[in-house]
Amino acid sequence: MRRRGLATAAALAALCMASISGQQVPVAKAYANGGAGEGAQAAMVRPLPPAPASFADEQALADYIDLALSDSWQAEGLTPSAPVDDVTWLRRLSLDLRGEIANADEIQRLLADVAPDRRARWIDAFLGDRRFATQLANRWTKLLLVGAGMNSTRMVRYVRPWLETQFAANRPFRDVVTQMLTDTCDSEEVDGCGLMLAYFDSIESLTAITARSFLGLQIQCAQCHDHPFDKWKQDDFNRFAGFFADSRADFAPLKDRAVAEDAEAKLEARREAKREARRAAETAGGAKGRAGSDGGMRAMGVASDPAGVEILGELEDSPIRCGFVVEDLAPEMVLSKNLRKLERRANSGGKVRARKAMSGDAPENPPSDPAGMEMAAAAGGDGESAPGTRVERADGAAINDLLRLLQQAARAGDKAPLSVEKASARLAKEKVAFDRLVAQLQPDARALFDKYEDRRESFSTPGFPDGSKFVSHSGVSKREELARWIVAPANPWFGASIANRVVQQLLGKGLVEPVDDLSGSVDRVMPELLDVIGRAFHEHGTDLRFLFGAIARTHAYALGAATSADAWTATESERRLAAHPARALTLDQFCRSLRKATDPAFGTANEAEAIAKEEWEVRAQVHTLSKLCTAPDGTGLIWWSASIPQALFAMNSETSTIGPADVTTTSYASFADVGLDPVARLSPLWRQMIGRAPAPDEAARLLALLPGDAARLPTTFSELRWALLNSTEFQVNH
Amino acid sequence: MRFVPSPDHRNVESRLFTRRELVRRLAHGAVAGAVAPAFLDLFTRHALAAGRSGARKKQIVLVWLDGGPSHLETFDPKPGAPTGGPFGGIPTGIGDWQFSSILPELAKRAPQLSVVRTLTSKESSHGRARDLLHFGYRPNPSVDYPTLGAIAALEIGDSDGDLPPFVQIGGTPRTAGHLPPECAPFFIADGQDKVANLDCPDCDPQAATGDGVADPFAERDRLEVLRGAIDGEFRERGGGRTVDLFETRRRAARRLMASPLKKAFDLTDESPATRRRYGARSFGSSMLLARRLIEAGVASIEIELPGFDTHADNFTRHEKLCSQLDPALSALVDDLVERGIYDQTLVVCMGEFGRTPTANAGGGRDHWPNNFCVLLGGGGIKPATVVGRTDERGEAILERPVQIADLFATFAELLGFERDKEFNPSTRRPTKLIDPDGAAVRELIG
Repeated sequence: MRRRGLATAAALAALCMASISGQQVPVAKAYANGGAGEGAQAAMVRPLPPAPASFADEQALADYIDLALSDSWQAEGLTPSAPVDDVTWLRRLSLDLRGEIANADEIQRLLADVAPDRRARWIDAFLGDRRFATQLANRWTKLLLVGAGMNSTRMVRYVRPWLETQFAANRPFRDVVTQMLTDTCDSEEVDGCGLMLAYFDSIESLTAITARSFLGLQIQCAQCHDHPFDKWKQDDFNRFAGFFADSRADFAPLKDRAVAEDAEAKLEARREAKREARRAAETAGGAKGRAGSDGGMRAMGVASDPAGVEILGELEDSPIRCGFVVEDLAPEMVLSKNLRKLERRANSGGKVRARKAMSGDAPENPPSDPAGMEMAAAAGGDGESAPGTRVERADGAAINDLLRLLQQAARAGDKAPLSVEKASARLAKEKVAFDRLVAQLQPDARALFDKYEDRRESFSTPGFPDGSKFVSHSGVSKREELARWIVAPANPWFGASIANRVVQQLLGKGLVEPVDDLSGSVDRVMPELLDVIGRAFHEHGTDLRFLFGAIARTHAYALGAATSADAWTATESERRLAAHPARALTLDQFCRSLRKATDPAFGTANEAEAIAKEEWEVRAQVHTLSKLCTAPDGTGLIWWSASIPQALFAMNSETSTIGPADVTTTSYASFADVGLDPVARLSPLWRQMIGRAPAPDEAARLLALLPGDAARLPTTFSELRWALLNSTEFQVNH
Repeated sequence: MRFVPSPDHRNVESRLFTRRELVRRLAHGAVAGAVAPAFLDLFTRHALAAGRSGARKKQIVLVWLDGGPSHLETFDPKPGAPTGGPFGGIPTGIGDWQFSSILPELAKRAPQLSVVRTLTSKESSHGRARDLLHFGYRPNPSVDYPTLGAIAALEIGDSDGDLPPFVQIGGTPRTAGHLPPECAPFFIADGQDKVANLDCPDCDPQAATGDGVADPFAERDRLEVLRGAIDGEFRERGGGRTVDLFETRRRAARRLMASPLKKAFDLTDESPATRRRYGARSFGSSMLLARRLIEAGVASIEIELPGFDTHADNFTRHEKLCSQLDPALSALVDDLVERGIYDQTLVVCMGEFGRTPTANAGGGRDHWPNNFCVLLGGGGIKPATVVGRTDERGEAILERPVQIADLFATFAELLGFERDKEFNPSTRRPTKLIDPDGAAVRELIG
């Protein structure tokens, strides 16, 4: 609801008269109709300032964004808040680009740099930092795997490092996306196949995550019925899913016997270690139970939480237990793929079979469940057996019936039982035999089969959501066609959706909210601006660093908190990016910052091994502290917010109640030097923890509150550190 | 699976925050004085408190059996049928209601319990079904629904209490969706473990038991003043709203630390006999902890017992799991009855779906949302009531299918939720707390 509707209409009229010359950026088809029933809002969309045909660099784009924003603020009668100082800006930038605060040394270096272009140089420095690639990989991994359920745990170890490599090399994002959608594999080397494998058992979820992550479309709402609010029909969803219908992603037995044996040995060693740890814990435990873990970063912080180590070990270091297959099938093999899924569901007690397979009783039939354990659940779980089929009841009897008859019909004199794949391949060549077989099916098996066939029809004619025509080219798989369409500059959504995500990540709100609902959202601020930014993104080769660099250079990014006392105005200012909201830290940012604030050596290592060790420790702490936080949100991220368990952690945990000060540090030395003025005494500690220096009255007041006892100085110093760790300023991205 | 990011987490402040008056003066000094040297058991203390503030509100305990417990091995067995499996049935004398023979203790409590045998849904995948059974709505990527425990925290939680209104023990933390952050669960990973960070290391627990004059929190208060000075400077720089939010939570946390009710989290008071009665393992401890929290007045508790997703070895695994569920849930019911608080405490025991009556090749059962059970008791539920009947194989509903929305409507009526209260998920399309399509199951309401 627009309270300022009348004012806007008047301003719009005035602006229309004023901006006759220059190029107008055409409003993308995606927004022409607004959200459902929002035609009135479309009428009030004010045109953007004329945009140049191309943007030479990040600064040019930043300047244009600022122009468009200030234009809109003027029309809405909003006054932007005052910009923040360098140090505040640096802390914000460091958190947003590197995922951690800047320490005292880094701040020192900034303040020493007086050149006028220092902010731009700092942006570029941070974008080139390995930690930019790390935090981006973390975010995208969590986002892409959020719908994968149990498979996400298994695939994180493949997806995250691969993405980190791509981002570190600054590979054009369109190439990264293309590879994730089209890659094939045939062994334990996964490369870019992680996404396909994570959703191997659910084409719906794969379709949903593709549309959502890369295009900002909530098309999955239409999978069971026409979308209730948006324009998507069920047919749109089916035809979009059809691009994946001819591909197959699956787990496969390891081909190399030596690798398989090695894996089994490692697994057994791990199980033994777990049993050992459990025994040790039980004998040490007693009636009081184990002491609650508090994410303490004691020297062996990782080892102190066996459960954490175990899971992380599973995540990235675990022995390879299976190979993978991701391939595009010839049409006649598609039926076979569906039937393999049926078989897996019917035989989902495959755990036993899988273990046998790995130990070498090489069966004629490839095991239906080579990767073991969770596969069984996944197979029976999602009710998916053929592309897009949501089978409402697990119809075990019917499926078994179907498979048995297929195999019998195809055996034709073979002595050994045929695998479903071979059976269906054979049947596909003998249409008459196949039809005869289908006629023999029991009613419920027949009904199931008919259901699959019906759905398969619509998946056979894929279609793009923007209505552009799909033409099949020989030698080009459907996935490749899809990827080409997604990353093409003509695609209305790709550039805009990536731009919206970056805007949200840096400025706190996307121009369209929710960030991944471009077509259906009713909460939009200048959505056409996303088209301009998206176009520039394409123009610069879909370079993510260009996009981040441009947004970070805007004046809007440097603004401070809303100053209006009126809550409505403050909220509106933040929504229209005229003020920068205080944002929660992600749990990852919080843990890294906690570590960096209390350990000056953190993040300074250059050797790969030392870096890897630090990463492990951070992730172990994230795992432990995740229990204090609320469930991950729709992006898969966990946030450090203001809950009671988090407050208790900050106040009482071993991590926070730091022991007596390390008297060798610079910050302690300054503090202990009573001859210095209050600000000078406290500055190094303040900079290390919260970035800024203390204000003079703040410093004076604090020193007056502290006991003056010289012998007690190390303890007093620790108390100050506790106070800083518990301050709101430390725990928030402002 | 929720697909929509929750802006309130990112932007720190809750949109509904200003509606709740949560800032309280620290009263620990007063409380310490009121605690006489003589020991007062938790329940008596709470009863006194309840007496002051009026009638005791209702409470809810959800025992969540994660993975999809087989209805045939729990509350709707079909012994002797081809689908019945190896276990027998224990008749309850209440209609044709039987318990599986692997739940003997619960079977004895049947007169105090009730069951719906014909819950039905269309969700057969874990993520979606788990969400459906917790939200009372089919999961929708555009809407950030709150879990049942958070709804209860909002509607019947004590906003003025020392303890959090919603405690979750085990599983992965549930979401409060778009409700205020105060409704999010206070999460305890394992009932056997000491709850982390409840005790203040600087604080002297001895100080209060002398003349009641010394303040155990004096040292901590001194540090809080330092912190306050730093936050004061941040407030000057425009961080006022954020400081207020954090301040509120700190005070709530301080209040919890200082509260005598904090003892509810500590199981060491309980006798070995009690520990044995509940079962000494994690789940037993969690249920005992839940009982203590109910006595201390926590409005909404969820405890999870995982492992029911038995696609293989269904029978042995269910037997093991039921050997934990049986004593613990029976003990809980007994203790609530004994303390006279069973009528105020709604006990709900369910999972996300049942399991296939026809076993699969691996001796397992697969997912079966067509008909499954929820065990209910206390909280105004009419006891010894059986709703719904399934066929002799346990795979079709013969009478009275109950939708999940109906179940939630029943909860709403029993506990006094304001069903039509609207909250604004991130798409800003108002959504009601409870699905308006649900009709309360009248047979259950006494």
